[in-house]
Amino acid sequence: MAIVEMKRILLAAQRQQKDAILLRLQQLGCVEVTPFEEAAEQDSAADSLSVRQADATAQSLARLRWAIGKLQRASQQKTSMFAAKPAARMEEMMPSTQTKEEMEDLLRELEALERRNGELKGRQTRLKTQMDQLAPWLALDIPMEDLRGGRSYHRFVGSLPIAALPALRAAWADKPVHIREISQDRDNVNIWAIVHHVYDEALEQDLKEAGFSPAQLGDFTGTAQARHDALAAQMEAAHKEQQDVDSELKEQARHLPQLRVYHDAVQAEHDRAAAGVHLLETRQAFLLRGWVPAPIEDAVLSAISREFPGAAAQVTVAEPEDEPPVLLHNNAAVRPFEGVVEGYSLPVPGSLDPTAVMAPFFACFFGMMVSDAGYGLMMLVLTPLLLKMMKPSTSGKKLFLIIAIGGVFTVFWGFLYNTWFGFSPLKHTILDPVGRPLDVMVLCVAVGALHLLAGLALGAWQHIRRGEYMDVIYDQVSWLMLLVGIGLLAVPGLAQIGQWVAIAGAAIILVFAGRGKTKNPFKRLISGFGALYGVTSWLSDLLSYLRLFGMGLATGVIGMVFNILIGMVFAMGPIGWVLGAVLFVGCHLFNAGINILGAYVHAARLQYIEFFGKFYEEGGRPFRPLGHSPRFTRISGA
Amino acid sequence: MEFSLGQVLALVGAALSTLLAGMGSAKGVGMAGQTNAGVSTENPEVNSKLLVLQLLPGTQGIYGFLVGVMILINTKVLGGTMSAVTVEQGLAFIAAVLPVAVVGYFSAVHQAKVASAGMLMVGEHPDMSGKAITMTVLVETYAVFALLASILMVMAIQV
Repeated sequence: MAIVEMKRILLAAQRQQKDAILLRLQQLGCVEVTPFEEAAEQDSAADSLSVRQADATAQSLARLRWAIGKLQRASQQKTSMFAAKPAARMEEMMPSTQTKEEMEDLLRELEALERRNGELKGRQTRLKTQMDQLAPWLALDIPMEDLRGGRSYHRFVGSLPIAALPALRAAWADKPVHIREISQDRDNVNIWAIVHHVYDEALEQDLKEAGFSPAQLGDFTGTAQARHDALAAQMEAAHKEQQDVDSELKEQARHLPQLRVYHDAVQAEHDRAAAGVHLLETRQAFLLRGWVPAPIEDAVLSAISREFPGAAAQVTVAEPEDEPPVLLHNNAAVRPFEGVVEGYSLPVPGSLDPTAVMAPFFACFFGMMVSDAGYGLMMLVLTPLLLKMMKPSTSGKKLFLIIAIGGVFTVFWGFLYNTWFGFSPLKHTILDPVGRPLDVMVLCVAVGALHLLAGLALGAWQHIRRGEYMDVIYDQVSWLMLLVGIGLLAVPGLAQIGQWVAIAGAAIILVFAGRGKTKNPFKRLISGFGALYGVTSWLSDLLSYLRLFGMGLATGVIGMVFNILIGMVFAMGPIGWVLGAVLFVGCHLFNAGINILGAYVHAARLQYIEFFGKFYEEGGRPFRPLGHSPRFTRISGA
Repeated sequence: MEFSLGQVLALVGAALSTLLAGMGSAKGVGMAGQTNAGVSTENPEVNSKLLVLQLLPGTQGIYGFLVGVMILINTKVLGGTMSAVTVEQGLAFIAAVLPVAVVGYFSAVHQAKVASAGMLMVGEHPDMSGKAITMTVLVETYAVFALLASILMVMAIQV
């Protein structure tokens, strides 16, 4: 259980070796490159070159992501939630110039397809609008060129409200005018009218008053029908072209695997370029500054000196004002639980890594809350299977392992609670939360008290490591005395002793809790009172562990209710057997799922609020070495 | 089968507990779900983290259901004929479900508000999902206490 010590690394080499060295560091994956403080003011040409490089790779990453998204939608292949990411070899992370060119060609092709697609969509919209405008006039069998009017007559083409038409006809019944109704829609009637030129202005005036609006037919010759047919033919062609584009896109989707690998390769290149921005460069040389974990400094140094004889590297202890990044390292059994700590916040450098102490409590609480031995067995069997199928990333793997370890504890507690898939098959129940709930509650609070005391002990250890021995008495022993004293009050015969122990503890807290905050003795006492009030938080912390009982009971009772209901279905005969079996699997999967999630979240909460509250110093910055962080693939052999 | 007033009161108790806590959870998970959809539109990658937050206000409904079932077990509705329940006992059942029903309803709604706010936070800072979950679970404490109070009371009623 430890936070890995970080050391400063300085590396100087010739500038032409820059890319090779960065690449090698990326393969090693254990050096975090950090900027020089002075670098912010430096604005040399070399700097802007590396910035430009990083910008260029960021841009091609964006293009690649767009292309991959496009092809994924086009290929319509459903990827299973449980499917593993495809594997990529380490060599593929260094694409050859040929691959790069191929991929660039592919990108350009896809972008050309996209442009064509956009152009086609626009054309189809335009055609559709024109055809919609023509639709009411299809019955007008006069060619457009004849509609413009002549010397002795005038024509009108347009629409007016249906209600206005009869009045208009009546008013013009005895005049040299002909009004033809072409079509109608909900409110308007579309008309064609021809009139002798003597009357055209009068008719125009009347039409205007009736609400006439001239048709916008566009510029073409021939009849509306002919024009409409021509447009329809163009539309058909555009449709066909669209289909070609779509099928070509679908066809290009076969390049998806290569594209994904290439994306991750460019991602690696971008990470290198982004690290390169932090370097100090002159025309001939460059200087790299970073963090390296102390246990592997020798391996890194020897790898550099062996492979790059011209480079000079040096590792020094971190300066006091430097804040090193934080990396947790634990043995394999508790390593998965690092994820729980990371889910909250990393400890500050120089403080404690709580993972090892937390892990057994976490697993125990998890087991108490899932509390069904059947579900525990299921977790034990399914987790390795899912691990094999999904091949998750490191953090995903940690989560699976927590569930597997929690499964072991679940079987243990499920055995004590005598709950197996909601049934109680054993004759003798050791812990009966329904029949004798008080026993189980006392047990939960006792486990909780142990957990809180462990937190107190870690706080004491923290002080001892820093040589602050008196603080152990002020901050931890005082509380221990107060709590144990209060506990003894309940024990007959020892109450007298308990009383004095508690008072002594309280006195220490009262006097010393405000130390260091103020010189004023009066203010210091007030601050002590404030600290003493914290005794109520201990009470609520202890009661909080009753959730172990509540959640455990919930799992068992819900499982039991499912079984009662399924039992009724089962009694219906052969159909009931089949239905019952399906229901049994479904219901218990649901119950297990919701309770595993609940147990995980609540077990984490008990660590974050109750346990960490006693000692934890949060706020460390995670160690982010230059390495490979593939998005679409898994790198094998890395 | 004839029901006595006491038996009906016991059933009312079971119904209240399932009903109010369930309503609260349904409202809470619904609210959180809307926020989840909104945040996921902007940042689809955090969706799976947000699902945990969305589910958190759902536990109150389970607690209410649990207490309801415990009344049904206590009065032997599940597994045979319902035992005789006096009017006083029936009223006692109603009193017993009040914590989980009322606190369940309100804590689910308030928890959903914290969950929604937490989702907005995770949308901006995906690495803060642990904190968002912790903030949300803090509200749950009171639902757990209410559940315990209700369970203890239900079990204290000897029918």
